[in-house]
Amino acid sequence: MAGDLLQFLFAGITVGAIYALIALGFSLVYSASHVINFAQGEFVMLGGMGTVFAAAAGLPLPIAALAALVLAVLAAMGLERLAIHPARDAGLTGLVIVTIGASILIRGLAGIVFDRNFHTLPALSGDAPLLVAGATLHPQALWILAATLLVALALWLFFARSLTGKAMLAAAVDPLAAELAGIDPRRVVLWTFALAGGLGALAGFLVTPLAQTHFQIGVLLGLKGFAAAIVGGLGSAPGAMAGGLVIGLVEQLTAGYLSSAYKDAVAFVVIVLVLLLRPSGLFGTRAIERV
Amino acid sequence: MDGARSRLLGLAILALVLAGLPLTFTNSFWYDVAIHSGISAIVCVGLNLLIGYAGQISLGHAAFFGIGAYASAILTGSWRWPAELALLAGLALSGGLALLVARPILALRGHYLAMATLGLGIIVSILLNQEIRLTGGPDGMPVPGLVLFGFPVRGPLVWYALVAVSLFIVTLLALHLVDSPIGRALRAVHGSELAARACGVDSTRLKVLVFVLSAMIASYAGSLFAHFSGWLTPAEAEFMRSIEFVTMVVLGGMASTFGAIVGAVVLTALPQFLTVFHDYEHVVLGLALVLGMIFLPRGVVPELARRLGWRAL
Amino acid sequence: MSLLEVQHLAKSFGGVRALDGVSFSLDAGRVHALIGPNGAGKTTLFNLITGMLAPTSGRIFFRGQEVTGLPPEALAALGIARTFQNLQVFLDMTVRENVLVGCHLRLERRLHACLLRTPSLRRAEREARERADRLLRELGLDRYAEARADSLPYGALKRLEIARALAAEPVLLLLDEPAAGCNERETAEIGELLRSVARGGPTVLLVEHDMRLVMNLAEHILVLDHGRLLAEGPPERIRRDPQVIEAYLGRHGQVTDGVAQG
Repeated sequence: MAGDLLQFLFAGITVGAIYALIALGFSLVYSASHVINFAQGEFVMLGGMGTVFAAAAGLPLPIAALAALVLAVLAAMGLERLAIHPARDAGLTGLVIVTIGASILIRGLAGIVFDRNFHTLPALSGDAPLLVAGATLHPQALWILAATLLVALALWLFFARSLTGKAMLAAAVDPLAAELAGIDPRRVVLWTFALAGGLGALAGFLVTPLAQTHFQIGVLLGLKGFAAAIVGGLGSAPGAMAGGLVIGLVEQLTAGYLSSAYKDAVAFVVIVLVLLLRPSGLFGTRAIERV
Repeated sequence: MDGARSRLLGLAILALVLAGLPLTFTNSFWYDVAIHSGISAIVCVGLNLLIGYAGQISLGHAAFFGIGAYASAILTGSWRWPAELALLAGLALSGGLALLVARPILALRGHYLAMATLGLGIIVSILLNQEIRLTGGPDGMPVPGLVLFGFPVRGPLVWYALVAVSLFIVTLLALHLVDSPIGRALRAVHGSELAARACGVDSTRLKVLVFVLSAMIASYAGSLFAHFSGWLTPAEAEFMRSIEFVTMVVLGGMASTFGAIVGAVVLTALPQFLTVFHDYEHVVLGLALVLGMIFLPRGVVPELARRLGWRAL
Repeated sequence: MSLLEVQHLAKSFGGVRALDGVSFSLDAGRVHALIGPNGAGKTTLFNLITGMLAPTSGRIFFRGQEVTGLPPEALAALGIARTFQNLQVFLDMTVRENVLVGCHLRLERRLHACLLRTPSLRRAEREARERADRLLRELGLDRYAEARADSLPYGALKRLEIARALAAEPVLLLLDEPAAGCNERETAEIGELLRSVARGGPTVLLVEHDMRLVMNLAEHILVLDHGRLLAEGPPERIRRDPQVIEAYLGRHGQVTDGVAQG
């Protein structure tokens, strides 16, 4: 029994780390631009599918992954420059629709440029499972955890220590003041999208050996990352990390103990419950305006 | 032209078009396309009240469509209920669920309704897929033919007539609502929420009201759809269907009832005729959404009306 | 009995006390004015009375009933209407529609009536339209009735806000700087207008910087300074109150002229 529980916890933390990376993309973009970017899941798909096809074209795996990362980053920057910025007058409703349109477009293009089959990637350290206290752990899970922790550390250093990071935070809080201080808020938004694209691609590259990839994989992964961001409090980076873990753990425990059929519903039940009970998110401190 | 006169003119044109269309149909394929377009249009007229006038997005309207459809399918099929009663049960279920979610969510300022309906929509879609004993799961389930007040609705022309009359009535009610104190108050909230509330407008209550109404309209359309198609699958209730409904409203023209109808008809009918573009369907849909919001943020119909100097309805 | 009673009302914004324990009451049927230097807390007080903000502490009673913390629409339903210092006109609606929104609470607005356009709705709409047109005539806005509000000149927008507030037939009318930004002639017109509004109409609470207008219209003046009630009383007493003169002399030479002239 304890072995089962440990097994579910391992699985929960692993997928939770993936959701956390995706949720970070949602949260960073939201805090920089107040846009909920529903195309975030497509960056995950580009990270996986891009690596698969670059590797199939003969590139060594690390270079292929890098190429996919660049592809996702460019897609994210293109999204900001070509769609979100020109539609900035369309209001919040309009911007939500623009990002949904962009996600459908990216997905449609991926279905044509890549293909519509399932693909996988070799795990970074093979598939031989590690035995830990009676539960098995896929070595790829360790890579995922390590990468997520590194990302968290790097982001923390970037935002807390570096001048650029502080400037980005300042621009998010008060674009006008930031502009007066010589920070261009438009560039900040652009680079935030780039960062979100990179985080998504990383998640897509890391999860593919465990879960396969497909041109439509981004829909559900994106929505679950979004759920994680809401649970953590949209706009809070630590919240996004914690939200990812919460969704991952609850999802795997549900799959293990209750019903694997409703595993995918967990994230969305959590969204609705959080919105009904604690709309600022479990970890958010941002006051929600009541009308 | 004042509100009442342009409303009557618009309705007269709609009635003429609806009545005249069958004369141009050469085979049952055309009826099929027209009936599906009409059913989408009914959903969009309701959804437009929410998006265009209450300023809120629902990313889960296909769920209400699905609830109506499955209520009709299950209650008339397995439970042998009369179709009218099953349809009413679907309306009550959709309306009740919408009310339950919207009341707390719409008391918050911001786009929380979009997130909540997204979650709700996906939960409903997963339920329909997994509750195989009730719904037949992903393979779907059969739906008995529609018998309304003892009169069997059979054949393309009768079905077309039923959908056309339904669309006309829903449009009439929507236009009335827009030009009523409720519609005016919603436009005022859009202009300045504080000032509207200082005038006594209970903005939360109105938004909830419109959301519940639009959910029930979607449910009604779902019931019609289930009986018409005779076979129902959960694909009708999935997330992408919700997005398609939003796309129809936005492209046709937010805050324009006839725009919503045009958007629904074009986006339902076009893929039927452009089957060669099947692979590119998503590319076209996505591009249309992005370009539409950039170049025609108000939608096709209101933009056309503005250029021609008409009042958009 | 007083119409509005405010007890120890306080409001802080992140540690800054905008309003610091203000108590007063307003008698029904009179014109009251609220004056004070910029930043004294006048608009904050308005926002608390109309439910736009919730007080940090203190209580508000309207017609003997406690209304502290009620939302704006509930206060409007009890008979409180207001105008805004920074115009809050519904710009993409016509002038007549703006006034009709002011009538909102008196209209038939049940869902089934609105969907079906029942006879009761048509009757209520017709009557509301007549009342709106009458108000527009009284405020000299009738020629704009069909125009979109965003095409109106500034002075007309100010009057439109007053028309919309009057359309609700309020018991208490709060006017936030109705003459701000208006030239001398427009200010005089607004003064005339307010005089006729007050005659037999609602109780008025007026925030205004134009001292001549205040001294001419108000029967009772409240002076706020630094979030506290500095003085209150009839105009002739306020005019001579050394504390009031001091408060204005300190930072507000221009208004001091007004006080001296008034």
